[in-house]
Amino acid sequence: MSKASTKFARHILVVEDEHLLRDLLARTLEAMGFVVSTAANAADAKRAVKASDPDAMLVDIELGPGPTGLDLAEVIARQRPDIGVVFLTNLPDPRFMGKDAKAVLKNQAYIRKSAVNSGSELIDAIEAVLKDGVTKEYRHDLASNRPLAQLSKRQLDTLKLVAEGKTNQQIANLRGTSVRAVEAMISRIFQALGLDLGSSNPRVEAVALYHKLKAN
Amino acid sequence: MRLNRFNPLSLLASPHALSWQNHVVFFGLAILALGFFDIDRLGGNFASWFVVFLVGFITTVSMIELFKRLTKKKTNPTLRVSWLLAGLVIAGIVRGLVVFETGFLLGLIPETELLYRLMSAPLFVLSAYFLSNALVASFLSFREQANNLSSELERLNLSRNSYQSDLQLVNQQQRNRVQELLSAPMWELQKKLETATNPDGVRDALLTMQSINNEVIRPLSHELSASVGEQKPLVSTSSNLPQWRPALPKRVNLSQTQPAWLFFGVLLVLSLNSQISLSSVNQGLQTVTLGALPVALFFLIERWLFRNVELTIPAAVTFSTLFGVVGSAIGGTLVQSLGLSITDLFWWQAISLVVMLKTTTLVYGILLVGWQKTLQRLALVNSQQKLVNSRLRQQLWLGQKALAMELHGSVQATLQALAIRLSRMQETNLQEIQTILAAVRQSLSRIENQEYLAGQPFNSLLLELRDLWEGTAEISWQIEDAAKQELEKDLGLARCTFEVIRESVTNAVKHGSASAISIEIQRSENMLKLKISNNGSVAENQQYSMGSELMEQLCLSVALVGKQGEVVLLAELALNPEFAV
Repeated sequence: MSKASTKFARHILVVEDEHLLRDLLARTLEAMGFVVSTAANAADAKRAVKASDPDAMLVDIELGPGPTGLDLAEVIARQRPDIGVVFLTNLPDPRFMGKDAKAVLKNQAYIRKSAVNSGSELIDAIEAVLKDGVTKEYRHDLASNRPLAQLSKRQLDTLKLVAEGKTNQQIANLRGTSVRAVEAMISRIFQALGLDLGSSNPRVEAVALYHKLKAN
Repeated sequence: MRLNRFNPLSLLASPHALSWQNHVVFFGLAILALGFFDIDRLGGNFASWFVVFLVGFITTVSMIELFKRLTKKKTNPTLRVSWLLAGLVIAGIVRGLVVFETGFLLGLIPETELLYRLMSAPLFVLSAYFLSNALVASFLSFREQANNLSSELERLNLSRNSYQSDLQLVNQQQRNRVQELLSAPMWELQKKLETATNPDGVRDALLTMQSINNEVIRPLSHELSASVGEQKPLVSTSSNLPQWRPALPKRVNLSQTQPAWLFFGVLLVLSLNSQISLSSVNQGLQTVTLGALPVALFFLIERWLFRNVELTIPAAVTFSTLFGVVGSAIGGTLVQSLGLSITDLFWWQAISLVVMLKTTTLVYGILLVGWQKTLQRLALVNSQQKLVNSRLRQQLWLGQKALAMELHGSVQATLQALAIRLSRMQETNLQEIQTILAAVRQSLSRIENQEYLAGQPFNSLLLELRDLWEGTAEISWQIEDAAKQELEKDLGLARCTFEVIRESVTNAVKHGSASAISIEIQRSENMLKLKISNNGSVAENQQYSMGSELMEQLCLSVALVGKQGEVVLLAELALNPEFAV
């Protein structure tokens, strides 16, 4: 699936399960002078790495029913740490896949699809990874204005349980803690989200906010 | 000591041991002993004896309560049982002493009775409380367990309602509304694209496409996602729940419902105590042996005769009483004919003691059978409910995943890509427009997508996983034929199973540094059983694998077992597709 034959051009592997977006990304990168290979899933990507030895990878996290983009990045980090990784995803950060923030390594870029306005922004992120110069600018997963950034993973997990309609007692049972501790944590979550604790139902507001932000 | 919920000795270690109800039982037994033995043997008026009885009763209860307080903090069951048994003996000795002193002061008990009182009272207190505790504590224990199961069932039922309503929202309302709301603008878009013969037409189509994305898809997904989180009042369906109250068995087997050791233990303690104290060791032994032998013989005959017979409860009580009366009457006659009996009432005393103990033992046995059956029934309902809930949790996860993938992922991604592609079209290219139209249709059709494996067989997902981790960890698998069929039949289950495998493989490699992973999948009656073994570090595996919310959501149960050089994750996934909404 190699698209170009430029001898000295840098090679990018695009891993995206949506064929239209994959095709579009490939064309954009080719237009900027990169050699591009594509893969629709993690296993194909691994084979493509062996076959084409890319300099960097542009990886979607959700790759359909098989292994995820995070799995792929984990394997690459172990076997080919020299290959740069740019995550391009709809997820605000890895917590939404049940992973902690450490799932994205320091030298990897994390770009939210909705935050990309032009192809050049994507190229900048790839260049940063290739030059080992990833700054906060290319780590949307760490941006303070990202949805629910102010919550810890534990708080986010608790909010998720609240959003699932669990009672404080059920959450306490699941978390192996007391109802009082859950109540205290939920109060802190409400405060962190800027919700008025005296309003009619901050719980409902928090749940609505969670779903709204998650859908973004 | 292993705690058996209904074992009389273990019940002394339970939190319900020697509860106030036992004092009520003891009150009755002590009154009977007063009427049967003391007044008849020593004479005197009832009022004076009642004063002695009350003093003795209050002393006994106070001593037992004191020992209960002393043993309250002892967590070792063996130690607690030993302490309480010792406490009962000491309470009995103090009782004997107090009863003797009070009776002596009131002129009811002669001085020569001191030894008898000091010997008989501890045995009486010990056997009476032991027997009553067996009944009372086992009932309280049963009630507690039944209440726990019942409330768990209620909780499961509420969760099921919650899952079902969430599922209905995710799987039906959302999809229906999405299709309903998208179909009109999409139809318009299609029309525009079909008639686009110049750059202006394409631009017009592009604007429509953008407006669909910005004004329909995004707000809609927000609105619908928020509706999932609305707090829905959950209707308690406790009226439909099975009642925990004990259902007595309609028929019982006499050989199984009369614990011999309990019956003979209490019988021998009480009769030896009274006979030895009233006569001598030798005479007491002879009296009890002669009296108890026919009782034992008839007890054995009764067991043998009814070993394969199920009787109704009234019939069981009648036969048990009948055999007890015949055995004890023969024993009483033998004792009296040899001149060994001390009192004139011995014959009646023997019969009443045996009948009382046999009936008590039988009632205890019948209650145990009833309680066990009630608990088994509740446990069965609970396990079925757990299966249903687990299955619903899987369905909910699949529904949310599918929705997230198709509505927030594929549909938006497709529309974004199409928008950019259209914007790049310098001039009308009918062939490309046709391609775009096909993509739009395909994208929309995916909203109704239930193809959880995206058309791939389960085995190919495992191959993908193996290929991905090749060079870091060797992954092998073995899938039983029955499990294979289930996975082929139920794609949702296959997807959930793969997610569990994927997650545990990642955990094993990433956190446990495993280099070899083997997967076994088997089907049991209501579930798929997964055994995922790896050669990684136990501590690290445990730290990360067990807390995974994904595992909890998809599995009926998850356990991580560390053996020598091997870590095994055991997971169960619920089957029974008929439960799925």
